[in-house]
Amino acid sequence: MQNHFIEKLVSRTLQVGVLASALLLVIGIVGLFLHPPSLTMISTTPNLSEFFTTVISSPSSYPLPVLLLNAGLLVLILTPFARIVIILFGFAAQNDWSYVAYSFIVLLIIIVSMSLDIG
Amino acid sequence: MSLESVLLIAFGGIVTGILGALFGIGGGIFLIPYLVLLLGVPMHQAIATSIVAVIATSSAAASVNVGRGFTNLRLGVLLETATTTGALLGGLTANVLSESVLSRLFGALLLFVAAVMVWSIRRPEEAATSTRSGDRGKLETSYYDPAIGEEIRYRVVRVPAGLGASFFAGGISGLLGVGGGIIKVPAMNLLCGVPIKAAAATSNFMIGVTALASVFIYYAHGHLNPLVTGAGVVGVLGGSLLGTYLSGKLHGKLIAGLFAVIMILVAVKMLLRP
Repeated sequence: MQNHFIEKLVSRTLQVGVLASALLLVIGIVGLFLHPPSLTMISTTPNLSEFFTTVISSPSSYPLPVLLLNAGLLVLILTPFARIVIILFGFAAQNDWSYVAYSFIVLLIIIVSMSLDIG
Repeated sequence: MSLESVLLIAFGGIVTGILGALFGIGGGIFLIPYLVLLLGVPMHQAIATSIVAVIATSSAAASVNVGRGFTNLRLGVLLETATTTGALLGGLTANVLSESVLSRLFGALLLFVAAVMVWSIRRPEEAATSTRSGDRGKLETSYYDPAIGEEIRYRVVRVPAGLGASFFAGGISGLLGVGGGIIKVPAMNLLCGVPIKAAAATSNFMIGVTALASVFIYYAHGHLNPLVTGAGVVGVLGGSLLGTYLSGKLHGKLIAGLFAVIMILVAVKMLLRP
């Protein structure tokens, strides 16, 4: 896998991630103006695990605009995460193991940080 | 929080996004004082909003820079090991510090940024590329600069110094919700011999991942209000696009001088906040 290909893939991933999250956030905000839910529902922030459990167990308990807002933020936050994974595999495909190791260290630090939220 | 406040946050995001793009220092440095001083958003929540906005703007800018080949991917990943460690520690520290201590630290950061802006106005245009020895193998690379129509080849030197500066920049990012480019770009350029265009692109590439290392800590502490953050992100993203368009049309040095003065005033207000 050439560097150029990794660059294109990273560039496209970031582009799609930002656009998708911006779209979700804009629709969510517009939805809030059209059908305002209780504002206390918006001010309370579910952490990642709470958010996923609620969405999976009972998505209807979330007003759609609030769901879209949280989903937009999640897509945005996971965009750089996807970028790290792509680069890690890109370096692996080039047999560049020292940079695979550096990417893995970065990934590990992010996972530790994520576990502080989930845990 | 009223829905009118959402509009005010989005508006503030647009203005700060424009300013961030005009001066190339990211929207956070303007967004946080706006949220805290004008809208009364708690400091931790403002930092959390800014850190997510920073992910949005840096990812958008990085998608362009990486596509153009300006970004040094290997250098970026190597320095990210330091920026993410710093950001994780910075985020943890921020969440044990009081609102007033964070305000004062942010005021001090604003003074530093204002000083850098004044310095960059007075500094002659940088044109040099690195010719120093100290090749680190794969960290030697090149990019095509369409502005001068030349292939720029450079090698990265003093990597440990770059790692140290990156750790510090990451710490500031996690602690105060800014990108940290104001530290990384000069460090990469002056310490590591990376040409300014590649340094700015590589710094931008790292900012999203660096911010990611601290954002979960703010999430965990309940500082990430989806409404405030969502409106802020949309505003800053839109403002950054507008600012990028405007940046070629305005006299940068005059505006930078004016804003350095405004930043000093805002810094004083943040420093005096109870």
